[in-house]
Amino acid sequence: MQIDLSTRVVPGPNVLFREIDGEAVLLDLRGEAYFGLNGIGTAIWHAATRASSLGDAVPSLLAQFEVDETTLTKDVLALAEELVMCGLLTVQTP
Amino acid sequence: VTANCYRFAQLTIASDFELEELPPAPAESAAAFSIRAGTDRPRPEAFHHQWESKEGVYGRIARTERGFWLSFVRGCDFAIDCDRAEIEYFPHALEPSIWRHLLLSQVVPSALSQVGHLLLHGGAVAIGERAVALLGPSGSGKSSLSAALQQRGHALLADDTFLLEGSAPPRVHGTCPWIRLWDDSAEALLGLKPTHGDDKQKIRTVSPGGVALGAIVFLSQSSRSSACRLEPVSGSQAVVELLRNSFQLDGAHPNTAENQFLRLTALAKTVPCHRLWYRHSFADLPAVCSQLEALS
Repeated sequence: MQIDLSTRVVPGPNVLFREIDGEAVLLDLRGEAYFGLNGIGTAIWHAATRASSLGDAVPSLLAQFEVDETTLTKDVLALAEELVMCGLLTVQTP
Repeated sequence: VTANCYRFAQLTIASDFELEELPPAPAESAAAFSIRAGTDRPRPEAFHHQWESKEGVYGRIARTERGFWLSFVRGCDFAIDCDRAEIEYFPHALEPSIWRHLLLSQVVPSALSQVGHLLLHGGAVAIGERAVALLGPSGSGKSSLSAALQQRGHALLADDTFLLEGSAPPRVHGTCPWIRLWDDSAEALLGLKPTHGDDKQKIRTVSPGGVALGAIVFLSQSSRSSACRLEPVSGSQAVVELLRNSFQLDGAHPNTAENQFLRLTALAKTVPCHRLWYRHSFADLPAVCSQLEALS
């Protein structure tokens, strides 16, 4: 699936999310698999699932981390693509 | 007909045959599960999970109309009915000790987890007034390290599996009063003669129960020649490791899986978690034990 800055993502329907000390653990009930997110990954998860698109998630993340926009945008797209492939995020079509 | 009641952690299990491996429980105590010879062998359509060791697949789990079907390559098949709190056994091994070990080390802990108890695969030793849990995959040295700590005067709480009761902090209850060691460990650590068998030696112990959990240590083998290293583990990584070392019959069951996930997350938040990197060498064990003793 093509992921770009206009894509809107939401948590997968069978995914449990739990935050712990600024990091997160995701449990996918459907695949019976579990994943850990570090602090940056957790921040991207929050921003991406609350924003209307992945592009809209970038400004709030830029305010949190000392990173240039190009690098951050690349990281957001890469993580979103990986999480969609694993079924942890679902692409929401308009 | 069920006539024998035994203590398993702080719970009671009932059995239609004698389980001399376990201490007796008061006959009037309510059994968390009853074990009896199976009659109707279920015919599950598909297995949804399998257990693997270095030698390959050794067991598989299937959902059935009334619960779960656990099929082990060596030893026995078991049917678990969680609603009736029953475990039926269908042995196909000539040696009863093989399937009895599977029953106590895999089947009963899995069944108890499915009905809401929290059990972890690992050892535990009381250091001072607190328990230190030792978790890691098969072959990571849990039993040898537990035995080495026991030899230094610390009470062994569990060798293979323990139940956590309550929270803040949870209390550790070992499930079976024994430690299993390969010949070399039994000889080097406890001075026992080798049996030259193809399985571990089972050595009976007396384990106190209900010790507050003070630390969780994930064991990892180090190839470095330097001394052992103990380092904190982040919360998310700890939860992933705890999930890996928990008992689960159906990870896709919403209520059970979510309940366990939430409890393990809470556990990682309340109990300090560490990773221990160390070489598997009897000569290094005193230094490793000293590091663990410093946790208390």
